[in-house]
Amino acid sequence: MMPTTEPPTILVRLDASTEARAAIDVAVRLATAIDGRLSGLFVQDVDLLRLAELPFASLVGHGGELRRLGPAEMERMLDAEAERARRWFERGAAEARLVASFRVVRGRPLRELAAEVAELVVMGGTARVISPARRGRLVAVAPETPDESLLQLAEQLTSEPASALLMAPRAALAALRELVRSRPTRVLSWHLGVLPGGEPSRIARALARERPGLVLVQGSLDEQTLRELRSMITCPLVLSR
Amino acid sequence: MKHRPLEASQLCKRCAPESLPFGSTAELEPLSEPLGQERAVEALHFAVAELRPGYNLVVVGPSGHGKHSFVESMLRAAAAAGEAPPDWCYVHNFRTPHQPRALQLPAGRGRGLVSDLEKLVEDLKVAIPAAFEGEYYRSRLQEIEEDFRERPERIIHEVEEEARRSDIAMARLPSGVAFAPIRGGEVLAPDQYEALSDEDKERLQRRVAELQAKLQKGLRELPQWAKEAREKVRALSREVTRSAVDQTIEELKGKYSELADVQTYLEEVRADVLEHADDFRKDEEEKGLLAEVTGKKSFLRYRVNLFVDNAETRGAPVLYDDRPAIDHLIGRIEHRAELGALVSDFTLIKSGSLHQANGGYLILDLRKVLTYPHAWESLKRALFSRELRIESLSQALGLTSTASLEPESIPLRIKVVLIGDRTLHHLLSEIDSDVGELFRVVAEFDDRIERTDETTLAFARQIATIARAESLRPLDRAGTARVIEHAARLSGDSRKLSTCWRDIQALLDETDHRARERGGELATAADVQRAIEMRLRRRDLAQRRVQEAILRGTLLVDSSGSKVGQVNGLSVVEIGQIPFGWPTRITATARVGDGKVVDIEREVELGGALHSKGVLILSSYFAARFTRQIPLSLSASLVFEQSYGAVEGDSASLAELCALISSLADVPARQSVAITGSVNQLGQVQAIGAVNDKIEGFFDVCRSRELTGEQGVIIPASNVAHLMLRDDVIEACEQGRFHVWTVETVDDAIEILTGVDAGLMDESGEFPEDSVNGRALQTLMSFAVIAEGFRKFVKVQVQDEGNEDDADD
Repeated sequence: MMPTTEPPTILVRLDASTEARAAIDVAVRLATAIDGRLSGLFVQDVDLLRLAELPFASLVGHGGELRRLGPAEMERMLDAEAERARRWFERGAAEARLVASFRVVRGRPLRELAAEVAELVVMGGTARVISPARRGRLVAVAPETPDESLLQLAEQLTSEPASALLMAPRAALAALRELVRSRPTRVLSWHLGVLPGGEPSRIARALARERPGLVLVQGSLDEQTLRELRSMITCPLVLSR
Repeated sequence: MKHRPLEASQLCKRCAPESLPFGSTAELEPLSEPLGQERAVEALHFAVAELRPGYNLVVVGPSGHGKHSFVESMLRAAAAAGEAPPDWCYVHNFRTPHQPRALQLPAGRGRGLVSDLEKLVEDLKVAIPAAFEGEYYRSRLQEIEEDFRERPERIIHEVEEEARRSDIAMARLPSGVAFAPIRGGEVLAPDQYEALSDEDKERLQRRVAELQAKLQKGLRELPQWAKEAREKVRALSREVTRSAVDQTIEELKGKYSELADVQTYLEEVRADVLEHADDFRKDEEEKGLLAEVTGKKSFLRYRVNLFVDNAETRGAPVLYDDRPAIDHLIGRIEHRAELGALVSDFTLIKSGSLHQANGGYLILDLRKVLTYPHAWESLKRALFSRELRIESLSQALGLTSTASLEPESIPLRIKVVLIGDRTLHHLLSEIDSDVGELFRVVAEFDDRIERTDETTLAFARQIATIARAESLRPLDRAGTARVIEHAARLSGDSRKLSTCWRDIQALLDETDHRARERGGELATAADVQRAIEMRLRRRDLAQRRVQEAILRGTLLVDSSGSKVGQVNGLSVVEIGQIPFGWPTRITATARVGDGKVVDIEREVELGGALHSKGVLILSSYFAARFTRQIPLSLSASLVFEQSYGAVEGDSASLAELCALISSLADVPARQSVAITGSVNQLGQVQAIGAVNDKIEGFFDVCRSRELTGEQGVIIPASNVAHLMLRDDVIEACEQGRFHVWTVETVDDAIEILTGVDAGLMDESGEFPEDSVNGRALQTLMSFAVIAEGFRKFVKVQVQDEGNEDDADD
């Protein structure tokens, strides 16, 4: 997975609905651990601009108050969020002395993500919108044919001993158990769990039930599953492609 | 000789050393009670034994008589049999912090409570954080927090799910949540929306509005959920804290199980700790200056202010407060500067002497209590109310109204002993009726005792007591006798002994110094005599100045020759409690007048009331003695020559009368004789004070010039008992170089003074012609004739003037 010549790229994907700081923190940790470079991408969602153009567009505030929402305000909001994300991103990268770049594009977030070439993608969580960041455990999602890199990546994201959940299709559990047992050092204490198959929403719900602090997914996910995940979990999401 | 001077033996009542039944004072047993103060001692014993309120004690008497030391030693003896009073602590009042609570504990238990509460806080600083670090608390807290945090997520999620079913997307934005219809996974574009039918538009809008309303409703419940979550966290904190606190508190309650108030207080501490568990959990890193101050303050409320500590007290306390200012007497509330402001709390409450002596005895100087502002009123209020309430002077006077502490009052059970002089007590009793109600027992210390064989020996034992207490050399028999004679001289009466132990002790101290210089093991009469002389010598500057002025002729006092209408009177001056005699020239002039004796001193307002009374008596004397059958047509003037200060007392009235009679009779009076005594209108001579000083004052003047054998002093016969003259005076009298005559009447004094027979009145009211009285009467009769003639002359003149006026008309 990791090219030996080029430093791996960690793409941090952010949009107006996500919590930039937590995602940037995860990305910085990851880039530091694997000596990668950071690429920040803030997507200004065109659907939000459309929404603001509707005649009945309104915003329900966090305190339950209702107010009108217009296109100009939405533009300002998206610009401000992009600027805020950029500041956080550059500060995090500078503090960790990482090579980094940051872009703002307009489009559909998940679609823009698909177009990006990056080995690792960190997506911001939505926790900020309603409640402060939570301290849940790491939940790693393994594909049907897992390899050791997932466990390695998980440990690189972890600075102190903790417990973590490794979820995989039932068929992959035996192999994973062996992988876990064979690892020489164990920063993480792994527990195994079954990842249900079927509808993306089932997978997303199963993950959400675990109340994760960080979700690490190995392999590619389709847009629908990603959308479900994004709607059900509020913590940062790391995609290892 | 008709008037014989006194014998030397009459001039001083000696104390014969051989009459004292011991070799030195070292052989004598010390006295346990003050000499001659039986009535005062009896009063003291009664006051101590009487436990009902109001039986406080006033001990009055002159200073230096051992009142204080005896009262204190007697109270200490009585207190030794009593019980140590309880300890008192002030603690925080958790309900009304400005009214600190008072806790009573058995004597010596207060210190334990102080350290127990200090230890409790230290223990809780460890135990409470440990309990909060435990798995139970963390997991329970996480449950509550997650439940709370997930609620909004659940609401949003529910609404989002519902929206999705209606093909409506929910967008989460930094400042809230928005809804928009979707088609094919994308938000409906405005032109697409416009293309919808009105019915569809309305349906969509209505649906969005419903979703918004549902979300609003859910989010608006957030504050209530937050409140519920906080309550749950608080309840959890209390539960966890209780697990850490209960055991420690219960152990303490067991330790103080018999003390209900302490039990209640510990319960309050427990409740407060449960409410303020966070104070025990603050990390060191969190502490800035302000946090440090507030942190200390938060634990300060669990401290115990051991206000009255009787751990070391044996028996009832006996305390002498030598500075009974209000704050020293009833306690005070101190303040400390904190971040630029003056603040106070219950730990800054300081006890007063009334608190310290509560359950025992408090000795106060009456004068000091009256001198310090509001101290007397505060003392009375405490005694009347039988409780101690601390308030500052400004509060007592109503000068400040700022918020301050109001410590709970403490019951007062005390006996107060006021010590002061008699006059002050009498004055206070006159103007303040509370004195009699609060201080029902008065113990009066006498300043002198009768001089008998028995008291003389007791006095010697008192000397031995002082010498032993002060580690002075014992006195031999003669030395003791000399001290006793000096005590009689101090009392001003040869039949009395002074009980001014301060003066006696000062003499003994100095005597010991002389004996030590000499290297003697026992102090002798010579040491005592030397000490007396040196004491006088050190303080006789004023006396020497007067003597010097007389000898240099600045002050005109003759000690030889004879003068008409001029006699030597004797004054006594007291400077710095050292009295000395001072001869003064008194002159009299007489002329025709209307029966009035003019007192020049009174005219210029230098004569006091008693002196003026003495002079007025002279007029009565003349009227009664000489002019019962003729009008008193006399006008006389009396002057204290070169007297520039106030003249008080009537001890010069005999001298003034003699000067006036000398003037009327035109008979010269001997200037070698000085005279003192008061006289009544019948011509009887009465006793005066300070007779020894007066005699010695004139003696010193005469001796400085030359003792001729003519000089002497006339004193009232009733003053003989007071004579305790100096040895040099007695010696001069023995040798006939100086004399002391006693008189009972004016006639006696006139005869000694003039050497002429005074003359007795016969049945017809006449005196022998050559007698002094006869010559005085003749002068008075001639004055009467002249006066009568003058009156007739004036009458004729007036009539003549009237006739001339009639003729003119």
